[in-house]
Amino acid sequence: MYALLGVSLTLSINGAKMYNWAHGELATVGAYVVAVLTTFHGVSALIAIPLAMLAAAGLALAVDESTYKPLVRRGANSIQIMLASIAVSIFVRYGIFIYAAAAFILTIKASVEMPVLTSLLGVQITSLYLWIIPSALVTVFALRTLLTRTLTGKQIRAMSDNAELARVSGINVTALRRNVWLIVGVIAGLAGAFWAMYSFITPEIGFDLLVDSFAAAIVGGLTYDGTVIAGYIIGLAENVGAYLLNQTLGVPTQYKILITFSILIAVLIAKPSGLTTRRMREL
Amino acid sequence: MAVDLAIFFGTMAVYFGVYLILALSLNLEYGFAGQPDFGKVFFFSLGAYASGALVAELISYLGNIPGDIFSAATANLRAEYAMSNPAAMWLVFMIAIAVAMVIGGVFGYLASYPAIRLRADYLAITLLLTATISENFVLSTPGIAGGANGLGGIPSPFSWLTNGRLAIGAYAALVLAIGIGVYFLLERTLNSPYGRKLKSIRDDEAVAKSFGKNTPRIKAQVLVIASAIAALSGVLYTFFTNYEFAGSFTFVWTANAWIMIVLGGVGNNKGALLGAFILAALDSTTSLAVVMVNIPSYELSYARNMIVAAVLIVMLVFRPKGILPERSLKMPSL
Repeated sequence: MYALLGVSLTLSINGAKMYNWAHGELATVGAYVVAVLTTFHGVSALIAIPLAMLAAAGLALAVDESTYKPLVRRGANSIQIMLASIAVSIFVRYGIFIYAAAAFILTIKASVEMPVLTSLLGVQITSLYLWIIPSALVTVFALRTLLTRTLTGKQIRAMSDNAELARVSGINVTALRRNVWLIVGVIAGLAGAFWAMYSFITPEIGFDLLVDSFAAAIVGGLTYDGTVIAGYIIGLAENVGAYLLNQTLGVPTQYKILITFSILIAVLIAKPSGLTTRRMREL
Repeated sequence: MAVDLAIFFGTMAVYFGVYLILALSLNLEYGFAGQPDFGKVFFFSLGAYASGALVAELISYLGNIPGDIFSAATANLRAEYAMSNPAAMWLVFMIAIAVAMVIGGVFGYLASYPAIRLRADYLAITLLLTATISENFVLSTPGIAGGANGLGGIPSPFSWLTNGRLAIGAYAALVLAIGIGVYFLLERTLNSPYGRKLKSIRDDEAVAKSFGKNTPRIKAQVLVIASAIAALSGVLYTFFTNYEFAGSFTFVWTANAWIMIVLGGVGNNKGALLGAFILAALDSTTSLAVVMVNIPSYELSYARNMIVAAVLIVMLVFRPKGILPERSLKMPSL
């Protein structure tokens, strides 16, 4: 899950050259679309998930067209753009809050029946895991193939290295940027949709997940493979580490976010460029 | 329902003062020294936590109130004690401000460690994550601020005034006086060679360094001073609400600070003044609307956050320098 959100975040950081704090809200929108459609309208998850991806992609595109693009065109610095994305995040989040509070669904879970397959260490493994884990892997792999094996991917990588140079080389940067946001939105929406089926969601879910995803992206060094690896490391360290600390030292599991934070701080101090760095060999 | 104008304007004045101090602190960091502090709420909440538990312990000690400081019963006892002991309350208030500013300063110094070493955007992310995670941490640690229940019974130093309107008015005057004091102090500092030094670091650190300025040290100084000021703002806010709750120190406070300086004018303290006034007016209007309109108050507070965010976006897109842009330096004519 962190891997899905993390790679799409890395894609927006590299592709659009900005730290998008509204990224979590894309997932929130996807999560709510799935939760509301399946619970209140009896829509099957197979239809609801693509709709969630579509909604998140639409939002990503709309936000870019209305806010980020004018800022970039005006030559705003990275701090201003980051600030704008935070404002977008708050705007969307509290918009969902208003809707959710009015409909009394501040916490909701998608009503998708999943048969319990087996029970491992007291954790019930439902067939949901059989869906989520391969889908996440396939998505990550598909994105990787797209970026390394197709022309669009080459163009995206060219744009993230040097947008100006890409433009004079005849790449339609504007259209490409739109594609990047579409992909980002689709993946984030998918992550949110899965999350809604996996656990209860609130309008703040996207932001909560984003904290870990940002940590994964930075620890991983803003490369796609690095983000996926760091995402798994953080996810494991958080859950297994919190469990072990709880069993041996009696540390409450609520502190698991501190584990992520310690990893992040340690990496930033020891190796600010992250665990992996982008290699130039693919040029 | 009738609205008590004295309380309305008193509350607005308190918010104005608290916001002003917060905005000035951020303007010092970002507007003058170019340090993007996206963890402002962390330093603000430090003031609240420090004043909260400390005040509760101190009053319990002075007033011989036994028992758990986080329980509602002792909170009521503390409020009663404050009503009859103005001198002790003032002492507690002063100690809280002093301790909170020291704690704020210490954490500001700790924050300067990454600030000196990281690029501006990495620093922004690190501080933002620090603030979010500390909110989670305090929320799940009942010993600091009562965890999920919060901590009540942090009485205003004007509790002994039996007339509630007078007490709010007096507290508002105090907060305003402190706010204006901070404003003039910073204006004097920033119109001195020190202020020009800060701007030179913001505009081009390499040049400032080549002129022999010790830039890491100056950055650390700025973070210490600004964080202490932010903690002061947190103390003043907590003594007004008489209650602290970690869950309320969300990212929205950081956004509040940013909207004030972006709206008013980055690098111009008059702009911070204007931004703080507009935001305080917006908040008061929202709270007034809660009374007037038949909408649940939480829906209005969500709407208020949406409005703030929308204004921030519009300002960034159309007028990034704010309503009152930075003035060129006041120089004696050559």
